[in-house]
Amino acid sequence: MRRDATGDTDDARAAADAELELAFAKGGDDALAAVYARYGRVVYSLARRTVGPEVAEEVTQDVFVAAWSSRDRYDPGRGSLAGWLIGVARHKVTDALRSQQRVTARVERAASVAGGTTATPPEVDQVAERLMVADGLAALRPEVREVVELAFYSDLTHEQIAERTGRPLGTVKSHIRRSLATLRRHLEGLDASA
Amino acid sequence: MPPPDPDEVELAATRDPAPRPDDTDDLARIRRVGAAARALTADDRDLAEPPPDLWAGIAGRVAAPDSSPPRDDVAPVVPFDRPAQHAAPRAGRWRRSWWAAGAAAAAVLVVVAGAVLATRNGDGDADGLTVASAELAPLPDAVPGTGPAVAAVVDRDGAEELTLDASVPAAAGGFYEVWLIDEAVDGMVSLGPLRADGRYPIPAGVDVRAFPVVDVSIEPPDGEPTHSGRSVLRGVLA
Repeated sequence: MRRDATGDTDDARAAADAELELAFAKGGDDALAAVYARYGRVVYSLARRTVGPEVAEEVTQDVFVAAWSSRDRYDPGRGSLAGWLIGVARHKVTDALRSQQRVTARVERAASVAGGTTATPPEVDQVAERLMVADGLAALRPEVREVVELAFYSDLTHEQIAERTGRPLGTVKSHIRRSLATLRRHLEGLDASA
Repeated sequence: MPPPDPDEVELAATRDPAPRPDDTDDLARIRRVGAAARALTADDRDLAEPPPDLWAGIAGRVAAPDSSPPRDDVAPVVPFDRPAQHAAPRAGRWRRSWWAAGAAAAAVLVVVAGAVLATRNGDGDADGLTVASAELAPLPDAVPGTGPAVAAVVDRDGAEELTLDASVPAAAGGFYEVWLIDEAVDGMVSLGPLRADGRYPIPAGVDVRAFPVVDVSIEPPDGEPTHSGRSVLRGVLA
């Protein structure tokens, strides 16, 4: 049992993520395949939610191809690769939406119909942040996620969370601190690719 | 008044999106993280799995950025027994021919196998002689967190063994199985479930040159002995 061994598994996960970031930045063999295996789902989900299922595949491809060709612009010191990729995805999605809207606008002008229903860029920003957090939460170990979700979704104090989950106060604080640092770094990555 | 506990400050910030004038950048981001987390819908949490062939498209475009459809970039299949007539083998070593086969391409496309010819004299040591090796790349069906792996075929006094150093997360509802597959990705030999010691005896009579693709799959425990089709790691021995 390693019930409260924050060390081992969390460190191993952090080390694996850091290794992946470094391998990507250096353009290592297989790095893009590994990055896709890890983050393909969140990028594709963002595309699907914003530009729709028909265009989502193409946009997802564009994101990974663009990310790979500009990988020397990714700096692990300025945020997570996950965040940076989502940032690239946000740009691609916005481009795709603009071109859709141009087409829509032409059609609408011709048909004299006003209004449009496609997502606008501010919505894209919000969906991007939410999906990034969703993916970040999903990547946490279940026992860590339990604690972090109580931090987000309850009004319990650290002591009450410790009591509720039966974990030592120090463990609760460290789970929350480390997870917030990870999620915050995703946003740094997102901001860095703006 | 004692200085506020930073953990308490962060916890409060996760629950209060309203910025304060004295927020640090970190604290401002924690407010955004908290706001996003609290705004999550069930849809947000239900991340969609990309279609299985999406990666092949990326791999094709990355491998050949100037050519159009990735499907045109299928690497030629090189007969495995093709005599390697161009370079003299270095004494005591296996001769290897490498073709660029993007790790990625291995996922879906038929990949090129390296011709391996042997001049087996000496060079053995206590750990056996490495006669071929492969780098295995994670495929889109892999559990997130699956890292690249390395495999080698080691000859120990005439008995061959596959060694596989793989780091894979637990596969929910299934187990990992190791396979040797032929170039056409048609015939295959199971080397059994993934083992902690990473050593898989290759049955006598199985020629790895005929089954050069090392593949790791996730198998449901359904008693069905065939490959599930869910490959998570793959590479080609050369």
